[in-house]
Amino acid sequence: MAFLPVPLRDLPREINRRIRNSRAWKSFFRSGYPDNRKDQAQIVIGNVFLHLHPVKVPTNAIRITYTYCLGGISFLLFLILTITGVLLMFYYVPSVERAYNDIQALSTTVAFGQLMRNLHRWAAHGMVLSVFLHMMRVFYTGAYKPPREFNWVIGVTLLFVTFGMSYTGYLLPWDQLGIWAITIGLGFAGYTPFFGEQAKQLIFGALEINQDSLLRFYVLHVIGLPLVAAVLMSVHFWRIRRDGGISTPL
Amino acid sequence: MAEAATQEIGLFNRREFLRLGFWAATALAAAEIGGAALVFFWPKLKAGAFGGEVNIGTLEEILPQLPMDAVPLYFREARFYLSHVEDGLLALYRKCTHLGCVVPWNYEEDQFHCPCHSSLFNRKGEWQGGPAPRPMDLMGIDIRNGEIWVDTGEISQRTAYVPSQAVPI
Repeated sequence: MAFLPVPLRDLPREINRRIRNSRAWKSFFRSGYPDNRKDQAQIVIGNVFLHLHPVKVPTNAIRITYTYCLGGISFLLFLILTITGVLLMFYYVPSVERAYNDIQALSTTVAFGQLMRNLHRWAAHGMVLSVFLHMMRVFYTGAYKPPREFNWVIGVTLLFVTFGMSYTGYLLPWDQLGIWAITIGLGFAGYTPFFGEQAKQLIFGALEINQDSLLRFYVLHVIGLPLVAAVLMSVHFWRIRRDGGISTPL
Repeated sequence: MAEAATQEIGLFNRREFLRLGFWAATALAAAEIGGAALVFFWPKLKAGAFGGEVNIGTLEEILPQLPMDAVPLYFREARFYLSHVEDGLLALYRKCTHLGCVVPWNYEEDQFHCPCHSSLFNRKGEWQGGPAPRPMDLMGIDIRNGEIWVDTGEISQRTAYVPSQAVPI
């Protein structure tokens, strides 16, 4: 084993050392492993993803029976919906000629297509439920009270955006269930005071559900509403920190 | 980088072993997801489209339209010409063997005439002129129960026409 720079038993450690001392590793991580409280806090503050999160969370605030992790579950479901949704977009065309057949093909001929579709479906139902339960939890624990009242407002907006994503997704399979459900919504929009007709045409792009409605709902579903949700979620998480950290049980 | 002051036993200490286990499990999960993604994205070639075996009809349907030495029949979707020569049928891939242009049949000259650099081929796909380095490529023809199947996924090159390339009818 003369060609090895170190004895075989030291090889894993030597590889580890060389990777961590490499220029690429150091440029990526900049600092070493944070093994003390100060460095750990510094990394949470300095990391673009982690900085939204409070550096320190009180132990009794993350007790499972206090938060039930409902906000975290909602976010996880949103991530699952994003990933599975992007995968579904590879096999779905929002046209009245193709939409229904594309969904049938996804369920029957595409490998893992049915799995992705059902993950998307159940995660969507779950997200509506978990966002609603999260709001209930915040209400019953009084976590909406000052100084957190504006985060409650953002949260309610997120609830409506969630409903919007769920509703717009309902039409996309272009089956009888979706078409008539959305037709009912079209009727609702018509009852808007003063400008019902205009609201109908603006939201649905037509006087009855057709290709234009499908395209509008598709664009709202895959980019419009998720983009709004992502921005609002960032602010929602960040404000937890800005408003003095997560609320704690009394 | 704080090294754990642990007793050295074998290749790894406990922390290094657990870390390696974590990364191995992560790599395994990533490989599974990568493999599944590959299967998910792999296109399903539609039956009858270019790339698979195409049924172009029965001999009874085709032959009346294509007597011997007639103008080759063009199958645009499957990207070949069916040619009837004295030894049988030939499926000629439409792509020019020079630089890959689509070669059309020229009715006035009674031969294939490539519009890009004037490569010329006859009914058998044999080279007649121009810069093309070899005859037109062939697709496999299989006649089963009187139906003509052309395998558009199996394209073979040749240096010259020999009668065994044609499928007798």
